[in-house]
Amino acid sequence: MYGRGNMKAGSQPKAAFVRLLVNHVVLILCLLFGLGVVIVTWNLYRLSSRLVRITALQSASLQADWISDFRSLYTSNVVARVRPHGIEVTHDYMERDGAIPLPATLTIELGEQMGQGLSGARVRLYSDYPFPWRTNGGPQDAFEIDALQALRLQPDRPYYRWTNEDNNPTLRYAVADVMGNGCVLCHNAHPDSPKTDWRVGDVRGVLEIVHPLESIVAQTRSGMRESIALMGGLGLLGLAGLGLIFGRIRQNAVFLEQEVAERTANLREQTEKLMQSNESLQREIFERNRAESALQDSEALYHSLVEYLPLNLFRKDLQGRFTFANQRFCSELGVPLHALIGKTDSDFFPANLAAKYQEDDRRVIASSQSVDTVEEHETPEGVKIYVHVIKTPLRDRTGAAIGVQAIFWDVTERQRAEEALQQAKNAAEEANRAKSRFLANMSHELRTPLNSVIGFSNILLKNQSGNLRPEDLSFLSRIQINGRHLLDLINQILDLAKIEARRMEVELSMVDLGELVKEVMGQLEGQVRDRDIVLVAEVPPSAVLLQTDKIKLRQIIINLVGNALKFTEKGQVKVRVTTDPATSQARCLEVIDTGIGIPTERLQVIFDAFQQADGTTTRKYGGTGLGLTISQALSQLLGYRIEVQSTVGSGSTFRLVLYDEPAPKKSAKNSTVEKASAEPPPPAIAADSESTRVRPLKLQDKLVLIIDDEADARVLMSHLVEEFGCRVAVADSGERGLQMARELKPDLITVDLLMPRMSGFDVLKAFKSDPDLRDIPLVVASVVAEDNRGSVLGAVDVLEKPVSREALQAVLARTLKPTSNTILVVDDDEDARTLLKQYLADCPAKVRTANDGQIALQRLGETTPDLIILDLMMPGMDGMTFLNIIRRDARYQHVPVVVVTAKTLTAEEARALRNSTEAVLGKAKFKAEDFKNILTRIIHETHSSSVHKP
Amino acid sequence: MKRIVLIEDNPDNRLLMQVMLGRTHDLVAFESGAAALAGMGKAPPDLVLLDISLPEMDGTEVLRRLRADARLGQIPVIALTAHAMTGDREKYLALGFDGYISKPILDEELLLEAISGVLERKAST
Repeated sequence: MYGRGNMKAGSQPKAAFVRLLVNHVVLILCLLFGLGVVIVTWNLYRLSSRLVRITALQSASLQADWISDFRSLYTSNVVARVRPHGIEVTHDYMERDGAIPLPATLTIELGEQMGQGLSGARVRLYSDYPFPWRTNGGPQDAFEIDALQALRLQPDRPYYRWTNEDNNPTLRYAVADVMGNGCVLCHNAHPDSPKTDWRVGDVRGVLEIVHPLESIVAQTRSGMRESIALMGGLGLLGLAGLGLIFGRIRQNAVFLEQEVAERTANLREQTEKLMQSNESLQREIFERNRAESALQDSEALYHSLVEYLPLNLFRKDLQGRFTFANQRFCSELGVPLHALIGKTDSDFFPANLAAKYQEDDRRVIASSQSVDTVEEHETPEGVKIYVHVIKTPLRDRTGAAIGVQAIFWDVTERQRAEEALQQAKNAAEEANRAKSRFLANMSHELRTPLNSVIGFSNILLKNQSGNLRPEDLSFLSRIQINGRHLLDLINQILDLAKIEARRMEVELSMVDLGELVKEVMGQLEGQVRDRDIVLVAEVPPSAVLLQTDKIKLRQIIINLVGNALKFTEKGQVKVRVTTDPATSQARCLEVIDTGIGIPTERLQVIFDAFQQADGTTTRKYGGTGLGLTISQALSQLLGYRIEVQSTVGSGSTFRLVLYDEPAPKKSAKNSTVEKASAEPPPPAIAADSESTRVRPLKLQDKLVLIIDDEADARVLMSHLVEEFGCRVAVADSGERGLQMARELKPDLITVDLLMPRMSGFDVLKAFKSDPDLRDIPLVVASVVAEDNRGSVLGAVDVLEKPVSREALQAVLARTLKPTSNTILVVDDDEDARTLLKQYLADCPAKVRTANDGQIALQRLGETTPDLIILDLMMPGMDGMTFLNIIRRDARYQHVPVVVVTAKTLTAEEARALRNSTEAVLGKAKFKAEDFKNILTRIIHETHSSSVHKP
Repeated sequence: MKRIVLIEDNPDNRLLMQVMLGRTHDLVAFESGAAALAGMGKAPPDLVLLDISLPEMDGTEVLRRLRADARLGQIPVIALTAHAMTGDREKYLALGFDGYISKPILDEELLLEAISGVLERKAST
């Protein structure tokens, strides 16, 4: 950079000057041309003036000579000859007959005559001795006087002067009028002659030619102008031409300059590149050195791999000639490497085999894809072997195929094992199918004779003819009972077989667990009649909804309760449904009996088939011994599990776990009882404060009034309520609370029971009797809450103090209605959409609809709904696809989805939906009420799950 | 007295049904579907009790032919079968049977209830 700058600076003035010249060449040429024109014009003018003068002089001298010659000739040849003959010679010859003019007179007249010509020249004759008759015979002006004097002194030299006569340039040319022989005689003799002593050679006077130059000047000037104009025209033409040429030259110069600049830049760039490439070359050399050593390492590794792995490896070129092979292949072939290289398959294998190999190679090369196959071969000894072959096309650096590489190894053993396995599997599947067929046939064939056994014994038992003895009837009864037992056995064995063969399908619907329990209890009531057993159902007052297979769940409950009844002689059998306090979701169903109990060591096996606690129990208590096995299998099918706790002599508790706590407690006792597969708990009830399913919170604008006389309690409650997202107001007494409630119109009020002056009971009473306040939900929070549960009528809930976060927030979630929800209904059937909208009419929600998944996705982009109601079968994007998309999208994966479909679901689909939706409803089956229950639950759940710890 | 056609290949079962229903119904029994289809044409019954596992033409085929017959197509048909595994009831109802009674018949009353139930339902439509 530095050197280049310097160089430029040195050549700058010269270059600038040249550039100036080049840039202004036309202007300079114009100036030069103008100057030339001026000089030429001036010169021409000078020349023309001179020319004019010379011409005028010549012309005047010629005239003067001519006139002098004429007078001399006239004088000598005419006057001298006629005079002797008495012819008068006079100045007034016109008035006298026979007279001729004097030479001077004739000369004057000739001059006058000439003056009238084009040249305009006048001729004057004058003398200092003029004849008296001459009017203007003497010198008239300074010139004439000067001319007379000058010519007298030098008569041979004409005297002339350039003058301006009446503003016209004029030549006055005077020559001496010298006396000749004839003249002297005549003049000296003439009577009027003022002088009579003239001698020959005397200067008599002056002959002057007054020659105006005007016409000559004018002619010359016009010629000059033409010349100048011509020259100017030519000059301009020349200039224009020059301008063009210079313009072109300049263009070329500019172009050249650019070219030079570009070339310079290029050069500079190239230099830089060169430097860079030099640098990178050095780097490359370094890298190459390193790569080379890495290559050596890698080659060593490659070599060790190729030679020591238990694989055969070879390479061939495009002509099928071996180019490399590892030692193993060489020894297998029995040919050393050097003997192998350059040979083809035809040199080592039978023609058909070689042709096959070559064909394989060709295919690999043509498709440029690896082929990975297991080939069957026969050894020369006729033993079948299997070889796993991977053939890969080889390419050079440009990607052009250069050959093929093959790796192969013997997989005969594996192949045989696989074949055996496949055969075994096929056999097993066939056996399974045969088993199913056998089961169905057996079922049918066993039932047919049982039909007769049970049917006929039944008829005989009626003893319609009245001829049977009691003893006969008791035998018939034994036949009847055993026939039925046999039928039970058959049914249960078949069910179990079916479950184990995974042929049992799950049909999901929305079930109210409380109702189901009551139904089962009613069914089994007959069994406790006349027995010392109380059958108790302990279920929550409100509906406990569950997405499940009703028939199978019923069977499980019947089995468990039936079992409990069977092994309980007196006391009670209680069925208890436990729900999550926050979500009202069913958590488990327990069957608690006061029966004989099960010894700890037997707990391990009671779920196995035909394993009652004691071998004798079957005989004593009846039953097939399959009930628990089937129950466990069914509950696993539904995603539940059965746990058992028991104390011999005091009873057992069978617990059907419907979903797990977030952190399930593992009990050693339950270790044999495994949860069905690795299924997650049903997601409908998986929401809790730890859950990642954070839902939109819409309770910010809700106001909760806390009425409590204890400052600490107020602070704690306020904190919890605020944590939930609501606004809080506090009152320290019942009176103040009432007053504030009237002013603030809170959305919910919590009230302590034990307060001075106005107690919580009084507050409740006051609220319920005030029409303005009676609709505000009141929650009692008290240390004596449980004891007063019955007497706090009108409170929506009762909380035990100290109030736990979970309990309070559950109450808030249940009680406070969200401000506004958006529900998106996705269904292609318009009737279905209309129906759903009707069902949703009561909801404080905005309902939006979409025809298919694609449109629904657009709707999601507009606003995220709080709930999606989704059909599965739709044109365009179906419900499953839509669900998969939104569950993968972080923005929507928490949005609860309820599927409403007419589709019959496979167990697989039902499981998938249970994992990703809140509920699945059959279109034909579901009732408006179920639907509302679900919505209410979801909305509550939404709020309870919104709570997260700070 | 309602006229009932029983199609049942097992003679014991035919006898049992005769004992159970014979006094209260006009019961006609056939051994096979073909015989029943031929015999029923003369006097169409009020109800058909149809066994499924029949030799030659099985119960589902008999039902199909009954339904295809202009005169017999409307007669209610109850499947009376020992195919009583889980799902069988649903399967036969889906095939178009009006009722399903599994064998063994545990109680005479159950059978009578099922029959009168189907007849009532048919009458009301």
